[in-house]
Amino acid sequence: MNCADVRDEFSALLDGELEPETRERVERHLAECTECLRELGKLKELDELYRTLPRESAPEDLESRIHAALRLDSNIVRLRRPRFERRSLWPMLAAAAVLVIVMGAVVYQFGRPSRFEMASLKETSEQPAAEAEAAIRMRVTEDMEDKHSEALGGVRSSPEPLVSAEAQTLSEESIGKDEALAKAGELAQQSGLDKPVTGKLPERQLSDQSATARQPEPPAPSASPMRKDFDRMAGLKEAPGRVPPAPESPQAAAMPRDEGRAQLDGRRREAPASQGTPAQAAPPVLGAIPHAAAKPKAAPPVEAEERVSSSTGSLERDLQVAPGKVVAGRQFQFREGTWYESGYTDEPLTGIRRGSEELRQLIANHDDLPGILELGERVVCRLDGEWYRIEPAAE
Amino acid sequence: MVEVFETARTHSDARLVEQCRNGDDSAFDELVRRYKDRVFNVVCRFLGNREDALDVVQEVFVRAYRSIGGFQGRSKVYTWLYSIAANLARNRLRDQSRKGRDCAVSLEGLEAEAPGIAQRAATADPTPRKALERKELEEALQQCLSELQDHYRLAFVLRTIEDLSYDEIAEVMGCPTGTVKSRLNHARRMLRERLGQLEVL
Repeated sequence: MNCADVRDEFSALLDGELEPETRERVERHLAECTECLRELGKLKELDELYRTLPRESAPEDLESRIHAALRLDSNIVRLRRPRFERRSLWPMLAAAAVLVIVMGAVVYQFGRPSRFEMASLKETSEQPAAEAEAAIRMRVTEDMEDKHSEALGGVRSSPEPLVSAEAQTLSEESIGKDEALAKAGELAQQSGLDKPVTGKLPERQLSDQSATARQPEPPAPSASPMRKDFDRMAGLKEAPGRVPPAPESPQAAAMPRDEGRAQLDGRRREAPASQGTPAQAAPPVLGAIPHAAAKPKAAPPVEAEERVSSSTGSLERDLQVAPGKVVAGRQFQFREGTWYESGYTDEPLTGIRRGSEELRQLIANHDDLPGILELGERVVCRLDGEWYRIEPAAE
Repeated sequence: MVEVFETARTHSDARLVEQCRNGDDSAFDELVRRYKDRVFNVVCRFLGNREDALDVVQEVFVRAYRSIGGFQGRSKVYTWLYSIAANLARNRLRDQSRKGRDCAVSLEGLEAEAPGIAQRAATADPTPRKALERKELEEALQQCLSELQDHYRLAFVLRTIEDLSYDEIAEVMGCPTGTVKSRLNHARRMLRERLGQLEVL
């Protein structure tokens, strides 16, 4: 072992990390080599110099700095969390967007300001030709009033007669004549209607006969299949060749009596004179009165209805039409004690009683069903393409 | 006796780590109090700068707090802390070099300023002058240390200043014990040469 080899071991020798055999050989060399021994002394001195360097102590505030950093660290973690939660906001935002759209649709369809309608109706009411029709409309709305009373089991929600432009609108809608409605739209525009009637279907007006409050709505100029469905659902009689009315409608039965009552009214007595006119088209739709079988004749009555509603405009607010509701993105209308989901057109119904095992299974498979069931005791809704009638539990 | 004390402290460290895992922050505070000065001293010598060392050591314990759940206990707490410190300190130097920050004083300047400071410090009177010379010696030692490559410097600091065994240094540096031995040998040779040029040795 020469000097270079020995000096390569000095570091480990100083650290006490040499193998005993190697250490013995190094020590033997050192016993003979003063140069290497002196060099080893220098290395010992080197270590001593560094060992005597003052130890640096951490500043007093190191602990508090660490604590502060850890708090900041945890805050950062907390701040990061909302980023993940933000993702979960999307469903809420989507739901909010859907709600806005639905509300917009509801307002558009049912909440259209009546003042538009009333303003135009007031203008048109000045036309003498409309007066006869107005009389008929008054009778019609009176008929409706009676029907409302019946629908409510004799209890009227409003002490005042349910005579209004809404009733008139109802009757107009129930004409079910596309041409008539289109004409109505034109007339409305001609008569200065601020907001032209639209093709949007006021389904609920046709079907809702219950007592809950509802904003009046101007007539729609067009009729879609859906509206026809509602016509039928509401049990409204239609002209020959059209979709047959639902035979179970109580309104048809109520009509003759109402008509008789109408004869007692002085104003209404003027009506028969005009009943021979196309204006008859309107009333029959509401009841059993034969109405405009010929489509071209339906237009004038619509115009008349516009005028009539102006004369009854002060009572417009009194018309109580059941509102539609939207549950789980599905639209429902209330009529005759039952909430009907939009789109129902007399399909066969499967009756399901509340509290039954069948209903429990349906609920288990349809998350939105519980909300729908809260609409009321009787609900007609579509589940998996089938129509169900939810009924009260058997007594 | 020292070994017995170290063993007892290691067991104590393991208990503290376990308490930390169970959410006992006071146990972590105890670990900080126990090792902050040792870690700080190593980092100070490694970086040659107290301010930088303070930032690094703060981060060492923050990292330790966050990762104590993953601490397996196979190594000693202080070697674990040293290894965190070594990585962070090396990153610090790397970032500084990227920024073009060079704190190193030129060797020529150091030689001109402090020839034979070790001898003068040893022989001078116990006066402010001696203190000043002692200060100069310390700066020269630190400067020579700072001139070493990172892995030589770290090995030397851990061995000479912190008195870690080769196995512990290997654990901290993540290298074989033989590598530690050669690094220490190289570090001492380099220091010996530089301090010889400065007439310190």
